[in-house]
Amino acid sequence: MKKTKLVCILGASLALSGCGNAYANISHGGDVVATVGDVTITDGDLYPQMKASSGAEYTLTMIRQKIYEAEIEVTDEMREQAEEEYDSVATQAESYYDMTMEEYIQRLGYADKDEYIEKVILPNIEQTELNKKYFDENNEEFLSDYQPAVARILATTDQDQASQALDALNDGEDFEAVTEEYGDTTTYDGSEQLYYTDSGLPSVVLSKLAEQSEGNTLINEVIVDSTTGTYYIAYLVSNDYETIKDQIVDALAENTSITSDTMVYYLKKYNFTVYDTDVFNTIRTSYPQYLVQRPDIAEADSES
Amino acid sequence: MLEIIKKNWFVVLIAILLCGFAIYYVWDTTKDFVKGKSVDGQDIIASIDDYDLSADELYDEMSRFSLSQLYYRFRNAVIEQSVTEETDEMKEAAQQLKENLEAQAQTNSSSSADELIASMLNNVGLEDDELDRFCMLAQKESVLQQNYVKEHYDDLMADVESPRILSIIELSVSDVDSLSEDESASMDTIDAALADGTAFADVASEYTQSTISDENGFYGYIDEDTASSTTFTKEMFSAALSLEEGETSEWIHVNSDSGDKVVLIHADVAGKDSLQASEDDNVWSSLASALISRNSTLSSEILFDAADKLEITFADENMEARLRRFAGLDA
Repeated sequence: MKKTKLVCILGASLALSGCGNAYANISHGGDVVATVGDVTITDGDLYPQMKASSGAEYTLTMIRQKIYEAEIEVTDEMREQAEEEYDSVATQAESYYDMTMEEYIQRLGYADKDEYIEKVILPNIEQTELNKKYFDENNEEFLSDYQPAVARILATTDQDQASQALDALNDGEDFEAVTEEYGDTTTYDGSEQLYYTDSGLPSVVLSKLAEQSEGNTLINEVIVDSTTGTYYIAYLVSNDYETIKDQIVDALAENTSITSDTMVYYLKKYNFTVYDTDVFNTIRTSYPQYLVQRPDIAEADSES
Repeated sequence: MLEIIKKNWFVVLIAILLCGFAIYYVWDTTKDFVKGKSVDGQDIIASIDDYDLSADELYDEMSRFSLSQLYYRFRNAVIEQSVTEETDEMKEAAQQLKENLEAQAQTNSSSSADELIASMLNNVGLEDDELDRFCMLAQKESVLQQNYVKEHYDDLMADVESPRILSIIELSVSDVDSLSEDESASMDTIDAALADGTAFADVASEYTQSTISDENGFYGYIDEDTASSTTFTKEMFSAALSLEEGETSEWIHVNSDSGDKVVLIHADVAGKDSLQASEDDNVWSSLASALISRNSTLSSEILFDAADKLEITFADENMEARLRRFAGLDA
């Protein structure tokens, strides 16, 4: 008897391994959408391909909407901004498509102006607000990833010029004037600017700026970027988050990398989990970092 | 029990190891599976804390904005029930189309041929293995369009001037302003054959080097509104439009970026009445294609005209209007 039980358990567990990946189905696949002569088209006919081709995008949009509801309060200001954007889209649509905005919206499938604003315009505004919240809420990781700093930069491909510039700055001369004399690129004019990862300033310079513990400091060395053979002189204005927060928001609140990082953070916070293989595979291909249920997939992407 | 284990310890050990392997195998195979979730009988697509997105909810949202699956399935059904005959010519053409598509899919390096074809089929409401059906649908749609053009000929051709059905013979040359002896000799041979009374199509099938006509030189439909291109140039158009039915042009010297050539054009059919009397499927197919490419709503009008003749019902009373708009009608 015990042997039989054991064999049964073994058999059952082996059978489990044949269960496979899960697919979520609609409950009303038999409902008829249309009949054409002898042919019947049901919800069950339409659902699989719709899910395969656009299920992932809709899923992410609908999940994002729930996160916005939980995290963001829609203020009057945001609503005003949405109205302004709506008016701007309306003007363009009316001239381009030769129809009223109401017709254009309904052509796309939206019930009315309110729904269009709720589903198309407001979400972008809410995402920007969520990004701003992200800077605060995940501050340590944000600062370490982006190393934002307000600084003055001089760049030159001539090492002697760089040394001379440093001497001049140590003598008290004005940074912008020194940049004009010794710098050889139009990208950096020595004025106060916000710099961060992906802003174009090499990481070797960003790291030096991040290391400084006090603001308004000249970094007293010529910084070499060996990959491009460029020499930098940097003056840190501030790398303190609270001090430069406004500039960070202006520069980065609508940045697409930030949006991705923000989404990863909040999807983790809310334990985003996918239970359908089609949607899972599409997200895996297009946005692997969002599959927070599988760190082996999500984090492999960020390392590459 | 202990006695048995002591006596047969080796067997028991093997049994335990086998059990262990089996359990490990199951765990390893299943650990990366996407696990399903169900709440109150509803399959769940994805969730965050306090919110489950069900398949039903996802489908409701998608079907508000995504009409293409329904549209293409509707279209396939209308076509297949409007054109029920499958002639040998249609089957041959379908087979040819299938071979062309498979060959084209092979040349694409970014995806496998099967995936590309499956993706194309899925986008038009068909399953992965329905390539044959797709190719026959293309033939049936063409027949549907030709029949419509025949029925509505007078209306569709009301504003058309100088309609022609053309055949052409082309010879590639290195420099059309300075022909070589061989090139001139080829032209003379063709002239002689035509002068002898050989049919233009037969001469074409033997000599033409054209890539824009079929093996018998058949080019198809033009009229005064047809736009010229680097392969069918303005000079060729002028010559063609001035031909009477049955007439062949002089040699046209074409200086072109896509390759110099000398061209003979023959008007197989000229004029609206003669065109309407034609019983050649190639003629009607070419005419229908030309009219459709010039009129962005014509193919949809044809489809919905056919649909009107069938028994069609929709669960949603607005669906037909939505499909018409999707197809570009009722702007």
